[in-house]
Amino acid sequence: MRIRHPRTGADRPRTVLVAALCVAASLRPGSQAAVSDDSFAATGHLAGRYAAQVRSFLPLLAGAPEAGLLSAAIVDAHRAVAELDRLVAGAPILGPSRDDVRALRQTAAAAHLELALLETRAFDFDAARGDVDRARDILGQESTEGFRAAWSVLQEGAPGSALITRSEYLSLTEFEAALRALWSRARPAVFDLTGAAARELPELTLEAAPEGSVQPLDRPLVARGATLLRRALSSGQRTFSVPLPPGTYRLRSRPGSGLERTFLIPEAADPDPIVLGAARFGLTVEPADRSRGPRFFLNGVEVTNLGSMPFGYYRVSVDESFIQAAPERIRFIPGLGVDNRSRSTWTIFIPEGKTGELRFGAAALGGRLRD
Amino acid sequence: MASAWIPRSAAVRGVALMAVLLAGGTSVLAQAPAHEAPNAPAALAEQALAAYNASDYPAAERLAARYVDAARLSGIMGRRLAEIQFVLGHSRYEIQHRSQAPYPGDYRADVVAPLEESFRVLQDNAAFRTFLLGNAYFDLWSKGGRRDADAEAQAHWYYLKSILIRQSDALDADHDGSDPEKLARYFLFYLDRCLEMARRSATPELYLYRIRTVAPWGFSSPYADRFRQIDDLTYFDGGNMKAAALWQYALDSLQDHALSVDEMVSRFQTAIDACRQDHSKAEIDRQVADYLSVLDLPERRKQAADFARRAYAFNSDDPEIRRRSGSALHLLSSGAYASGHFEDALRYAQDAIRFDWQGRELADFDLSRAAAELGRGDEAITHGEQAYRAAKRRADGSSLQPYAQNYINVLRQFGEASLAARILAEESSLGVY
Repeated sequence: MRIRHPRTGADRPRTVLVAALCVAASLRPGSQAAVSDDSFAATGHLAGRYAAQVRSFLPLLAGAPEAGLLSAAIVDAHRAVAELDRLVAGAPILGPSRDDVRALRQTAAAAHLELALLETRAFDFDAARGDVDRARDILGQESTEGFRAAWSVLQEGAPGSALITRSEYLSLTEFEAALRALWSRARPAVFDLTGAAARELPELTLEAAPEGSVQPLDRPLVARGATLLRRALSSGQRTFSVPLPPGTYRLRSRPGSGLERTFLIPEAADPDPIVLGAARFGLTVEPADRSRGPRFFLNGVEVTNLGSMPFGYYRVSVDESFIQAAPERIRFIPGLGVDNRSRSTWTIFIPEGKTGELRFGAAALGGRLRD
Repeated sequence: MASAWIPRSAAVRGVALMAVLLAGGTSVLAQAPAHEAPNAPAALAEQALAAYNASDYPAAERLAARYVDAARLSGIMGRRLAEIQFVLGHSRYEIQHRSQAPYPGDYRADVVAPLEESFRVLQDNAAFRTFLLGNAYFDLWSKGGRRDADAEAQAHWYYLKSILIRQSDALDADHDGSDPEKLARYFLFYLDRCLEMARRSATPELYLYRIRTVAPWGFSSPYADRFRQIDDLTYFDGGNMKAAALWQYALDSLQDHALSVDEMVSRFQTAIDACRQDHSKAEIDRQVADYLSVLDLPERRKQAADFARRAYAFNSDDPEIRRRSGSALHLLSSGAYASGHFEDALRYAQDAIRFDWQGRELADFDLSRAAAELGRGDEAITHGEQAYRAAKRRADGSSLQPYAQNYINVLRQFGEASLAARILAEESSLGVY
């Protein structure tokens, strides 16, 4: 590289790359208008290449990428998007056609949305919201027509064959709605595995129950949740939180380990902690009536065998005409301790393998009303 | 407009840049204005530029360092400082590149930082500046034991940016006639760097997507075969980019005739160890067995057979692997026979007849003659006949002669003279005796 003497006189203002390219083109002989078009075409081409860098990482999301891999991809995507922002900011007001400018804006906006999707998968929802806002700003009112951004990209290929890429494109409105669904739907599921034998934990898996209601759009979040759970376990954590979308899940280790739980992540409320262990206890209930309760729900799934119940957080459902003053939730803890009974929540200690007795208040004339 | 002097015609610009890349630049004389003291910042800057343009990097580095110190003391900022920072960083980069010794100071602060600070201010000739920054970060990554993920990411980014800008520049310059071949060489350089970084990266899978994006750009270039080869790597071992990069590294090493055989094998072994799928391991094992066999060194035959055997264990369905495994055992058996180790020759041959492979008559032949030497008549005759019959189906003339001769020999040796005479009569045209 050769460097010449600086120009004398006032410094020219700092130019961005686009301007440099435009000026460079303008120094060539020929038609001024044609040169300007060519330069902007080069800018559009460069923008397309940067946008392609962001989109190239979307196939990652088809699986359950490692956190390190995803964050490295996001770093790259951030850089590409920053370059796109510079190109958009440097686009000349006069010269290029409105269609060309709109194409540039749409390219940049799509990259921002695709970055938002990557960030969403990394659970960086704030950054994702920022990128959606930025995409909307770039597009403005005029550039949304015909706008599409890649929501998913699946690739298939083999050595010597052309790469087949299947992409699903969404409009700005659809993209935003799909992202918002992901942001709002993931709920923190707290796992407590302190009662589980360490040797069983490596084989513990989390999956959506086949009969469950996990939406296709949510499947990447489920995969991500499963990865986060494995990662937490491998790092030695026994209590941790994993965001999961609403649906029914199954958590289990090898058969015979006693570590198996089907649980529900509700649509509208935060789920109870999922306490997993091999220990069981029995329960006798007074008063009890098969048809009027009480009924016990562990993480959203009813437990009917009161002779062998896992410890954890149970929701209680009663017929109030039969039972009075039942709490909403009872936490059963293994061992000896002082029970605690507030109006809505009880904490009950029962030694492992033993049977505890639970007494509720009977409603006045409850039994006779039944008749 | 920035002050770096580059002809605006892209074709000329490309040639100029390449020339600079290869030769280090040509001189544009710059002299201190007469009215300034030689140690004044402005004079130092002129002298630094003159030395830099003359490719006198030690002098340029010294003068630029003094200018930057003086500029900081006197609060000078702006384009001039950025220019001299570039001279400083690039000169140090060149000096270090020409030196074999480890860098004595802080490479990031001394080399990378001035280049990066300069680039923040001066955006002209961005393809070259980013290319240089990529190289500087790549060196930083290499010198740091290839563990610094940030340096790796920066190196990749600047390399990528460099080729993207270069590509757009080429598009812009199409009226003047750009040089697609030169552009393809830059793409190849980028891809080779990607492979190099993927070998040691903590996130090698990222390179799968990076390579898949760029490799097709070279499919219509004169280097299309290499681009396709690199693109195909992204499918190796189920998309295991680290293993793929290590494998390609080992394959490329085959061109390095100065490399020792042990080092070569070690590179392939590293790739094998990184593979997840058995058929990938089998393929590399087979290649090592091939490589060692081609060397035709007696001391490498056992090693070749070991690799071939492992390939067979990983993927016994592949006919080429079976052939390689059988051939390797044949070589071992032949070697043992020739040196009088008939028990070993028999053992290797017995291993080689346990599976079907193209050329299995060689194993029967080996087994027959080794068994004959050990006085095991039944085996010698049975396998001698099998070798002869199989060879007769596939070969004729001189290639059949050894099989026929061996069969006749073992028949005679173990009391079947009449049968031997019949075969002799049947195959008299082969020159058997």
